[in-house]
Order: sequence, then structure tokens, then C-alpha cells
Amino acid sequence: MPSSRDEAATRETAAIRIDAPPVQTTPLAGAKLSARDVNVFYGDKQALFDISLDMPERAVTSLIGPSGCGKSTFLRCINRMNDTIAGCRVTGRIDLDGEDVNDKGLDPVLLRARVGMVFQKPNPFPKSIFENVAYGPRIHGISSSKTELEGIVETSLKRAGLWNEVSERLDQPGTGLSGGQQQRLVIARAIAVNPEVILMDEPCSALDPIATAKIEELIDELRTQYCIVIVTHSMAQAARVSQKTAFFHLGKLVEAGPTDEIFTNPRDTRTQDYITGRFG
Amino acid sequence: MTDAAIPPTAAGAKDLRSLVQSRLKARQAQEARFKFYGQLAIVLALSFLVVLLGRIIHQGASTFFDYRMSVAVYIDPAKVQRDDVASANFDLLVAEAVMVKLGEKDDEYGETSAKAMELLSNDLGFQLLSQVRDDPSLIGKTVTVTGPVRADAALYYKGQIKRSTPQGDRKLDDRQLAWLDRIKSMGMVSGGFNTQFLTRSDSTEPEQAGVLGAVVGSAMMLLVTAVLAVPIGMLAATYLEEFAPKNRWTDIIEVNINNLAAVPSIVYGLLGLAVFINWLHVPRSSPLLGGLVLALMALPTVIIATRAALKAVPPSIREAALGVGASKTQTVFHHVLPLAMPGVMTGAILSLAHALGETAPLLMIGMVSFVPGVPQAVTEAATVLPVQVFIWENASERAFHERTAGAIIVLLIFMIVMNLAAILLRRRFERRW
Amino acid sequence: MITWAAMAALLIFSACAYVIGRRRLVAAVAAGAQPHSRPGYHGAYLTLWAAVPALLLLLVHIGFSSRIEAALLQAEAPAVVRTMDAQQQRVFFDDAISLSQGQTRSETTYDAAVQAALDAKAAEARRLDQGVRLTVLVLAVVLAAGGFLIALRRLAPDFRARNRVEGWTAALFIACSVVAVLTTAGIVASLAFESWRFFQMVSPIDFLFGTDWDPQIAMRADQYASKGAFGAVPLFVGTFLVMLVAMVVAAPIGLFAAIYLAEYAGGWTRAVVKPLLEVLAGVPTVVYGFFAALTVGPLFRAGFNAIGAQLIGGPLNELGVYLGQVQNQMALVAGAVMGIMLIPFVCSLSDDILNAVPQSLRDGSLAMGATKSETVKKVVLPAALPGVMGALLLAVSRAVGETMIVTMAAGLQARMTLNPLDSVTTVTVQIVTLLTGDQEFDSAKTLSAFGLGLTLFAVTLALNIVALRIVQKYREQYD
Repeated sequence: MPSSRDEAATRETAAIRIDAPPVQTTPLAGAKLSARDVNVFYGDKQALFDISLDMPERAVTSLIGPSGCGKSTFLRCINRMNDTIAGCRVTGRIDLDGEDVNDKGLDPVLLRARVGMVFQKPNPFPKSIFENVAYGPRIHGISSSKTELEGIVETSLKRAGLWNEVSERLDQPGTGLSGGQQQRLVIARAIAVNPEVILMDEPCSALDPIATAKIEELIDELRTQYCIVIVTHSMAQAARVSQKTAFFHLGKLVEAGPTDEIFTNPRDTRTQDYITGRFG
Repeated sequence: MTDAAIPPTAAGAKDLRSLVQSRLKARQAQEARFKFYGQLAIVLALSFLVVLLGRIIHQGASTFFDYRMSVAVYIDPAKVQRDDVASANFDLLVAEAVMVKLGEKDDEYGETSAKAMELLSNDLGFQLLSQVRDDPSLIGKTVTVTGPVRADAALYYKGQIKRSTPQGDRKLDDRQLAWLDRIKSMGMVSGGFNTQFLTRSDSTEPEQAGVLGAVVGSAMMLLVTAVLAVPIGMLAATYLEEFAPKNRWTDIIEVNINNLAAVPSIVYGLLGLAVFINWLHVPRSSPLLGGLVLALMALPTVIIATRAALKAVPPSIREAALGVGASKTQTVFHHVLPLAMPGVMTGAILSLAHALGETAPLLMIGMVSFVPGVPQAVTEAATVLPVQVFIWENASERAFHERTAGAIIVLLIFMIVMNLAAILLRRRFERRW
Repeated sequence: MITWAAMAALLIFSACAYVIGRRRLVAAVAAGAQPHSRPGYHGAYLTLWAAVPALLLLLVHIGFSSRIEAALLQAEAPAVVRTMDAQQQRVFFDDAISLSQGQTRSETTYDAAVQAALDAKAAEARRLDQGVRLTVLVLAVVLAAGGFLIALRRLAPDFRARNRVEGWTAALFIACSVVAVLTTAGIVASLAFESWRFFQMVSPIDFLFGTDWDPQIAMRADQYASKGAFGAVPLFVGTFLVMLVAMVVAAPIGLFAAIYLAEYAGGWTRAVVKPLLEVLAGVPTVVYGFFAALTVGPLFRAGFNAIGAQLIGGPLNELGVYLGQVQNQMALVAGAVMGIMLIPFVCSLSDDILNAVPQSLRDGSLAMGATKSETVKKVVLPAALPGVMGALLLAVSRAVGETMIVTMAAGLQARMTLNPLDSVTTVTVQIVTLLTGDQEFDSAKTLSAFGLGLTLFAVTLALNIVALRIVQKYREQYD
């Protein structure tokens, strides 16, 4: 427990640092996604308060914070998955390339085609491996021929690092794979339509360490082409895979910045307490 | 990550956007269509319900309204012998009294009086007979009797037999219709709530037929079913859910119960016929027999409902009771069963309501017989409401069709009351853990 | 009467036993004993021993004594009676028993010799009855007192009364559970036994594969069990046709209603629609039958007749003539109304099954940019397919076993036709027709109903077992 004097000192340094240019190991490109004053209500209960956050292109942004802090809720705002929950209301703007995702004229179908999502528990459809990956291209009518579709499936599986493991059994059910393979299959499914953004909601929480390592490696690969936003409860994971980190607490965005900085030199005491394991 | 340097899959992002956009309209239309099919299905299902119930009420409501006639009849000593009252034709006496009112004279073949008698229920003559038999001093006096008009006459008053129909195609001829109009204008006929329908039993004459016998029969049968199926079902379910070891035997019992619940009800009728009648000699057509058969039929559903209610009691309650030193039996009887009771009773009432409407197995065990009285004991021949519906539906007289729908309304009211009781019970005692 | 009085006495006695058992332990505890069980268990133990054996005896007496007495009575028939035929003998003995019980006998007139024999038999019956009753009463008293004394001797403060009482309750529990098994056994045994008798008169091959069904003709002695009269294939065809029509109505409407309720409807819609569908499900089948016979039947007939009238004289003259002759009772009417009856059944089963599909699959599909209908068609339904198939099979089983609607609306003519506008008959209709009214249990006509019943039971059982298996497997998959 730091003394109040220490705490005051930290706050002082933090205050000074706000003006200082951000220290970045990897240069961040321009913001792909930018949220402004996002509020989310479940019925009368407010779950998110005035979240404003930029998520850069070709980089991984991780959202961390204790359970129930609203990080998953925020993630689900980006591709409007909250629409499926009765009584959920979202205010504020989230821009994807300067276009508001909550715009009435924007069909969520188009939005979700551009913003892929990977869930906490691997959820391959009860179909063959091939059909799982071909699902997106089929519904959106992306491929015009069977050979093209096969090509898309193959590339997607290769990019998800799963091709070598499943190329011989594409016609077998996706549910028969191991947990880590299923999660990579789901990632392959998401990238098969070549989205611009990939959202990941605690993608490794149901996996063992080896499978987790593979997924993290994959995320690092995908970063070169996509804007990735990942929710994680593991700070180590956030530190390993992300370039930008945002810390949520009780529905508020406490602090956001380059990952190195957040972990080495947080400005807010709550962030500091969280990353040093004092709560969460 | 050997596959790393694979190029992006489909064309660029802009391309994806236009691709999706180009098919969006068709997909939205497809979505709307699909949703519409769902709504259409719901609307269809509900409209079937509305049409079914509406049609029954439309056909049956008139049963509860009937036309009664009051006639002052002079008991002519020339026609009624004091020492042999029963031999007199009281129906004719009543008809003649009505004809006097109408200013009609009987012809020598008695055709006019026969036509008049077609409009009057023989209930009137029967009332006269029993009054005079009880009190012979009435002979030579004028007695006023009140009773229903004949079913066909009532149908005319209710507008179901129309003057516009050609004479040959309707039961009553023009002359009879004219009489009916005049009787009504003279104030001899008054309409009102049909209490007889609820206070009388089956009869060969539609205007005298009522549902009381069937209601009492149904009540007795249901009582037998409840007394047998509910306790046995509850105990069996408690055993299977709380005590039974998990082994092959309990598995067999379990599969067996699930399958019994789906056995066609008519098969239970065959069982009743072969076992209860031919082997155990339970009296045919009796509520006892019907109750036994329906108890066997309701047993699996009671068991399934009870098990569901017991499953809903959280294990923590059992652990707490066992933890303070209660035996397994004490735990179940003192804690688990009382907590599960509302659910058990709800399930039991619903299975009994289902048994109340069951018809097919009862046809097998002789309940289709014509029973004009109210059964006095569970071993006497009786009929029950759904079977009464079946019997009347088979009758050829049109007036019975109206009564059939009337009996259905009574049956449905009973079922609604039972279902409401179940719903209230569920609401009142519903617990959430 | 006496038996019921004895039962009442037994109840009072066992209540006293309870009090005695309780008191003894309470007294012993007061004297400083360490009891194993609470006083109530001691009382209950005593009650059980006092009441149950005697009660069982009395119940057996109520159920079977009169039949044993009748058998004993008939064992030696007087000489005058032996000359009578079986029917008259039966009446004679019934009368003897009626007289012995002080009831009025049948109105048969007997000559003096028979009358004397009757009076003698009546007196014998009275003696026999009194003898049996006395024996039973004495035995009951002995059992009650004996049981009470045996139990009383065992009772001691350290006696494990609770465990013993729980042993009795366990026996009761098991007995209740066995009732369900006995029901199945009873169904199988009675159907099999009566069918066996039937199949001795009519070969099973002729029954299952014969195409001519006319049990009425077979009543006549010269055509008794003649070949072909009991060929059930037309009934199977009729049953199949009605079931098919019913499923064509129920499957799409029920399934789409379930999809709407599970995937689209808000809480409010569900709260309104589901109870209403339950009402539809709760309507007794006889009401559906009435609706079919008096509303739908005439309506369809009028409709087809009107269409027929339009076609007559035109290029479709023959069809017009046919439609003009369509009757109220047709497979289409029975099937359509049965379909309406099955809608809530299909809907609620499918609704449960769709709800069991994990939300994560829907989320996965929606997040890919699929519309709701694409999600339902391409992910939810394929995932739920086994379960839905199971539900539909259960509905088929109900359609096959449904009786009242077809009895009231389908007709009685056994025909080999797949034309839904024809009048057909079904297995259940024939069972009802064969078994309502007076029955002779020796005739192939009556027994054929049990043959049909056995077939019906076997088919529905097979359908149910397969369907329940599928549904259960499906549930386990997502548990």
C-alpha cells in the first residue's frame, strides 16, 4: 500500500506526462475506429459511461479491466451485437473510417461483414470444417465459383495456421476439433470475408497455455493487416499482443495509451492497483 | 507460423463492401419474408383457436336459452279415470287445451291434435300425469303446467328453422309455424335461461336432455382418478427422483414411464376392457372403471410433473437437512416434498384436466350407453361429459347438435376452471431459488 | 357392510396402537432410557404391524371373496340345473346369489323343481357367505392382534423403530413405482393374449398383408374367419393418409410458429401466445371431432361441390362430377383438423428444442453478418434438426393413435386410396367400431380389435422410443 505522499507524487508525474509526447515502440497508424461519448444502458441500468477511445489501424488494441467493468459491452457496441439484446440502448458515436456504425441507414449486416468477431468460447457451427469457413463467403455471395470458394477456404485456414492440421479432413465436423483448433477455425471463419476489423472477446480464456500461445502468435500475424480489438482478463496477454491498451473500471474508461506505457507507467492509481494485482 | 505471408483472401475492403451492398436488398426482403411466415404461422394457429371456440359458442350459446310454455289444462273427468289415471292420454289433453286457445278443432283422424302435439314437449303431459296421480282430487279441475316447447318449435323461435325454407325441407309445416307465432303473441310462451339443461340428465327428447348426469359422472370419475393417480404418481416420482439407486432397473422404469406417457389413449381402453372388465369384473360403464383406466393413463404425466417439481428444489435444501442429522426419508418428507408441493399440485391438476377431456378409452369400456339418470354411486352405470358430447353428436336430430355444443361449453368451462386453478397455484406459490 | 365396519374398527385399533407405542417410549424416556428413535416412530411401527396385514386381508376379501364363493357354489350344480344350457345355468346361479343377498332376482320363471333347487342354493350361498365372512373376520382380528403383540414385544427404547418404519415406506415407494411397469406389462399382456386368440382364427399374414377389410361379413357362420375379411392394409393406408394430411398442416405451421417464438418474438408476445397455444392444446379431442364433423366437413364439402359444379361440362368434366359427389366424411377433413390439434404440440416441442441451441452459435452467425433468417436456416435449424425430427416423430405417433377426430370425421369405409377427398377409415376408428356396443369375446370380429390394438401399440411404441432417443441424445449434446 503506497503512502498518500507516494500516491500524490505519482499523480503529479502522471499530470506532467500528459503533455509529454507519448513514448511508442511501434508507431501507431491513424485511427480505424474512434468512439466518442458512448453510453450503454440495459433497461434503467447504465453499463458504460461516456467512453471515448481511438483504435488504430494495423494494430492490436486491448481492453482490460476487472470482470463486469463493461469491456465486453463496449466491444459488442462496435459491431452492434448489442442490438440482439432486448432493452439495450446505445448513445454516442463509434466511427469506422469516419462512418457512424450506429447510423440508422447502415445495415448491421454490412457492418458485421466489415467487422468480424471471435467469442470467448469457440463456437464452430455444427457443420464441416470447410462449411464453417465458407459460411461468410457464402452468405455474402463473395465467391462466384466453387474453385474460388475453395481458394478462400484454403487461404483463410492457412492464415489462421490451421491448414496443415485439417487439410486432410475438411469434410469432418468442426465441432470435432480440439478447443484451440476450434478457436483458430473460428478466426479463419472470421477472416474468410476479409473484414477490416476483428473483435476478440477473451479468445483464449477457454484454452490451455499451448493453444493460447498459438492464438497469440496468430493475433500478432494478423495485426499486420487488420485493426484488432481484443478484450482480455489476462494482463500478461495484453502486454504481449497489444500495442494500445485501455483500462476499464466500473463502466468508465480510466486510462488508455500505448501498452508499454500503461504497464510501466500508469497515470491513474486504479490502473496501477489493477496491473499490480491489488484488485480485479 | 509458416503460412504467414499469405496474401489477403478476397479482393480489397471496398470490394467487400460493394459485394455485400449489392445483395443487401434481396437479403433484407428474404428476411422480411421469413419473419412474415413466422407471424403468419402464429396468426393462423391463433385464428384456428378463435374459429374453433367461436364456432362452438355460436352453435352452443342458444342451448342456454329456451322457450317454456304455460298451459292451463282442464282435467276432463270424462277422459281421465280416477281408478286408472295412467291410461289417460295427457299429451292429448295438453294439445287440446292449446288448440282451444288457438280456436282449432280436431278433425276425425286426430291429425290436427297430432300436429299440435309435435310442438309440445311430452314433459307437459308427464307433469300432469304425476300431479294427478299424486292428487286424484285434481280431476275435474284446471291445472296449469309449465314446460319446454318441443325442440323443433324452439329452433323456430330461435330462428334456426326459417319460414323461407320450402315447407317440404323443414320439420314443421306452415300451419304449425302460424300456431307457434300465435301462441307466442298470446303470451303463453316465454323465453329464459335454460336451467333444465343443467339440472336434468340425458333424454331421448332433445328439449328435455341435460348434462347433470354427465357432470356428476365426470366428477365421480375424476375423483377416482385423482385418489389413485396423484398419491401413487407422487410416491413413485419421489422414489425415482430421491431414493432410487441408478441402475438398470430404474433406467427401465424411467424409459417405461416416458413411453407410457406417449401411448395412444385408446390402448388404455383396450387394457381396461381386457383386464378390469373381463378379468377383474369391475362393473361396466361405471365411474369407478373409467377412473381406474384414466388413473393409469394420467399416472405417467403426474410422475413426470412431480419429478420436474422435485428437480427444481435446490440440492442445498437436502444437504442442509441431511447436515443437521435428518434421515433421507425425513429430509424428503419434511423439506423437499413440501417445497415441491405447489409444482406437484399444478402438474396433477393439469393431468386431471387432460383426463377430464379424454373420450376414446371410455368408449371401449362401455360408457357410451344411454344413461337417463344421475349416478348414485361409483359402481353404477354413468356417462361423462366428453362421452355425452360424442353420443349427442351422433344423434340425428338437429336440436341435439345445439345441445352438443352446449355440453362442450360446459366441459370447456370445467377445464378452464381447472387450468385457472393450476395457473393461480403456480403464481401464488411460485418460488425462485 | 360388516367388512367396512371391520375396517373402521381396524382403523380405531391402529390409532390406539399408535398412542400406546408413543406413550411407552415417552414413559421409558421419563424413566431415563436413551431412545434410538423419536416416539412417533415407535407409534408408527406399532400401527403398521397392527393395521397392514389385517387390512390386506380385508381388501382381498372385498375384491375376491364373492368370486370364490360363486365358484364354490357352481362347483356342484343340482341335477335339475345340470340339464339346462350354459346360458340358463348362468342365470340360475346369478339368481341364487341375488336371492341370498336379499336382492330381487331376474324375471325368469322357474318350475317348482328348479325353484326348490334355487331356494336351496340360495340358502347354501347365504351359509357360505356367512362362513367366509366369519373366517375372514376372525383371521383379521388374529392378524391385527398378533401383529400388534409381535411389534409390541420388539419395542424397546433402543429399538431402531425409525429405520423399520422407513423400510415400510421404502416398500410403499417401490410398490408405487412398479405400478407404471405393471401398466405396461398389463397392456402388453392383454393385447398379446387377446391377439393370440385372434391369430388362431385369422392368420397374421392375412391380417397384416390382406387388402380386404370387412369384419361384418365374417360374423356369419358360413364365412367365419374367411380369408381376406380381416386384411388390415386398407386401415393402415387410411391411417397413413390421415396422418400425412395432419402433418402437412401441423409441421410447417407448428415449426414456423416455434421459430418465430424462439427467435423473433419479444417477451410480451411469448407471454401472450404461449398460454393461448396451451389452450388450443388443452381442448379435448372430442371437441375437435365435433368441429370437424359439423363445421369443417360441411364447409369443405360445399366448397368442393361448388368447384365441381363449375367444372361440369367443361374440359374437366369428370373431375367436376367427382368433386360434385364429395361427402362430408373425407380424409382431408379429419387430417386437417387433426393437424390443427397437433400445431401446439409440434410448436411447443420445437420451441424447447430451438431454445436448447446455444446462443453462442447464433452470436457467431450474426457476428459474421448473417441476417436472422440466414442464421435460423443455416445454423440454428441444422443444429436443431435431430431434435426437430424427434418432435415431428412424436407428433406422427400422436396422429396415428388419435381416435376421436377420425371416429367422428373420417368414416367407416375401408378403402385402399391415397386420395384425401375419399372417405377412409383408420385403425383407431375400427377399434372403436368393433368394441362399442355388445361384444362377444369369442368372435374374430371382436378379437380383431385387439389385433389392431397390438399393431397400433407396437408402431407407436417404436416411434416413441426412436423419437425420445433422438430428442434425449440431442439434449445431451448441448448440456
